[in-house]
Amino acid sequence: MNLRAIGIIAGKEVRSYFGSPMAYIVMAVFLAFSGFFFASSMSQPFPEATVRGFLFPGALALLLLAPVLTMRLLAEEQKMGTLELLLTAPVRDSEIVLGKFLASFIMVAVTLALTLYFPFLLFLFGGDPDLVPILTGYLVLLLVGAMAVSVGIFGSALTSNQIVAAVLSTGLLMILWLANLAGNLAGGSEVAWKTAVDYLAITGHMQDLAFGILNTTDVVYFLSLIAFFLFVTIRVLETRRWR
Amino acid sequence: MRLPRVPSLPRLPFLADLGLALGAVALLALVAGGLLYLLVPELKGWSLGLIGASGVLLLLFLLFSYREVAQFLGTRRGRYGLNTLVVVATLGLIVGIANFVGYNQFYRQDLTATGLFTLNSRSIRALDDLTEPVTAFAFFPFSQQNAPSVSSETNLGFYAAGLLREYSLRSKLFSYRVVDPEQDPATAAKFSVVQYPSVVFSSGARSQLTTDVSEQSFTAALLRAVGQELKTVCYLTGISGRSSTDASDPGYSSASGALVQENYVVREVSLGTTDEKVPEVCWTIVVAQPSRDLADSEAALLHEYLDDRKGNALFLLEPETPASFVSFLAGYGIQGGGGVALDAVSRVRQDQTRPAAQPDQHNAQHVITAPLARESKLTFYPLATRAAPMDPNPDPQRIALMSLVKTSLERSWLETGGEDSKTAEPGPQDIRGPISIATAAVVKREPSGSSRIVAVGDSDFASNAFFRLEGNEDLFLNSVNWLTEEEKLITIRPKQGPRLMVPTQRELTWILYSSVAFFPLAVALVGVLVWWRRR
Repeated sequence: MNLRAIGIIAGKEVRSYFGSPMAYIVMAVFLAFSGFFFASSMSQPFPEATVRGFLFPGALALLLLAPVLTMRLLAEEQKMGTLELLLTAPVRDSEIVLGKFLASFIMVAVTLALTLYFPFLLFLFGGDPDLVPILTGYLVLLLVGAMAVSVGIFGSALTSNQIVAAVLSTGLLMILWLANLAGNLAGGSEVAWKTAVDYLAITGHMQDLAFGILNTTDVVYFLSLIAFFLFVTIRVLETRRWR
Repeated sequence: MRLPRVPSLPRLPFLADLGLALGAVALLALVAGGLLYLLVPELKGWSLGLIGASGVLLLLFLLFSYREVAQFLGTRRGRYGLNTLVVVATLGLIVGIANFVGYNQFYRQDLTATGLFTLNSRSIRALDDLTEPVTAFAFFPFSQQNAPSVSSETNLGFYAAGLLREYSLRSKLFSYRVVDPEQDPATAAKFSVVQYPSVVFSSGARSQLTTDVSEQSFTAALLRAVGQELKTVCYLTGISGRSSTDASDPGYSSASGALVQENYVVREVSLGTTDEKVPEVCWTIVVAQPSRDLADSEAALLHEYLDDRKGNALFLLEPETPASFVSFLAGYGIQGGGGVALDAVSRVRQDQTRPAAQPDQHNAQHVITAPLARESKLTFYPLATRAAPMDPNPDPQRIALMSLVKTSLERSWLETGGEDSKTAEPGPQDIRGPISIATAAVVKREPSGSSRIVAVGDSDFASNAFFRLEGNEDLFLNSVNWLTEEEKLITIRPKQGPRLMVPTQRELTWILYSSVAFFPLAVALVGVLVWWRRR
């Protein structure tokens, strides 16, 4: 695998992101949304000095915004006809996908970095917050963001229409976000599959990390899904060669 | 890939279309049957029938459309497509296996400073000792179940489920269910649950309900559900100068609260007035700062409890401990009182009347103080007296004595001249150190069994003013745990310092406007600038 090629592709996409006002609008919306929930959590009587108040809403916002960020990555290339050019270039399909994934992930990471303002406020106003739950909280947001981006790229690879790509990705992410509701609809844990369905839910894998508990089950969940969607995206790209 | 040759049906034009239609119906039937099987167990027969029918339709599809399928699979697209499908399915299987393994074999560590999700010794002990299955039913309306937020008052559902999950991870005999009483009223009615949130611990025919979402109440309910009674610690009032319910600085409400957290029952006993003798339920008695002489009748009751019923006792003395108590303790090999223990080397804030015991001044050989020595914890005693093993032991065959805490070796002594003495050096009448200020005794009883006694030469260390400081809480609770034969609970407890904030209104206003408006607007402004430059 040519890391330089991945870096070049990622660099090009990052410049494209930050050269466009859309990225800043997305970041501003995410900040406002997260900030609202953070401020709400601080308005409780004797609030806990933690950023947990915005973790879950922030993760949901990432699931909604990541498809918007990634919808054009491959769909636009297909529509503009530049995908064939890219596929014939001396870069592998995996390098293309990883480069674009890396660029979107950097975008997500920068957006999350801007929210470090919230724990700064906690320290500033004498809250003496426990640092570890903050770190694990941001870890889980990065993992959620990476997973959302990988699903978004997958959706973008399936179609040349950006809107369809965004809708497909959002739908898939919402299924993962709300998976445990399906188990509740089954009416109780006697139904054998409830455990498996509950396991699919993103929220179930955020809880431990949000509270400062490191659980390898959750890390395996996120990393395996990221790897799965990236791999499937690469295979979808490969089908372009023989479809 | 060459497919085997089979006789084909006569080539009728409509058969291929029929075959494709049957294939589509087969797929629908399979999905419908699968969903029905998973979602509605009551219709298992129908779902299996649908799955069977889909199998038959699939066979018909292959039969009628065999030529088309074979043709397709022979093409480049067909081969590559099938290959991709197989590869993706294989990867999906690998991901599934990886998650299955990750779910069953995992590393999990509570990294929080306060150990919020680390079970305490009592809970761990209770779960490790389970011999029969226990199921906890947590009843919360759905709106409380999936809305994790900051304040535990509005997040009881999540916190309770998280706590119960910790329990289930500790013991395979423990399981739990979160029940929405609106969706499952039958289960709520079965346990007579009318208030939410409620958690019911059920084991066999026994069940125990609690409406308090906390580890202490969960463990207490768990113990009761398996038929285990909580042990009782009895404070002797009348004799003691301290009250277990007094919340002022000299009071013992913090110590009592800590005992309750360790799942003890705390009660006050007044010998000779409300109680004719030490109640049978008392696993240990606590006499905190004897404030008057023991009456003969009281002494007789105490002897009856300790000697005849093999009771246990914690005596917390002071320099002015009455003589009757000193002689009472002498009968058990403990030399108490006789002056003020001073320490010119190891002390609090240059005050030699407040000796502080460094980690190495705790007896690392005794289970009560070994954790303090091991974890480098300090204890201190504002105005203490001697509580030492008698030398020689008056009855070495029957009484085992061990000093728990001593003053420093270098320059400490027992000032026998009274508490007002400010001498910087010991006088000829004083007893040179190190002075033992805490002692444990085990007194063998006939024909079997023993009673345990701990005497500490200070009662202030466990008062509200000093209880939570340094290792004082651990010394007190470890002593009670040893007295009640709960050695497995002896530990060093993490200090749960407050992680709360008290922001002022101005700070809250700044947090709100900067988080929701200023900061996002600043970022949006950068976007506008970028757009402007691109025009």
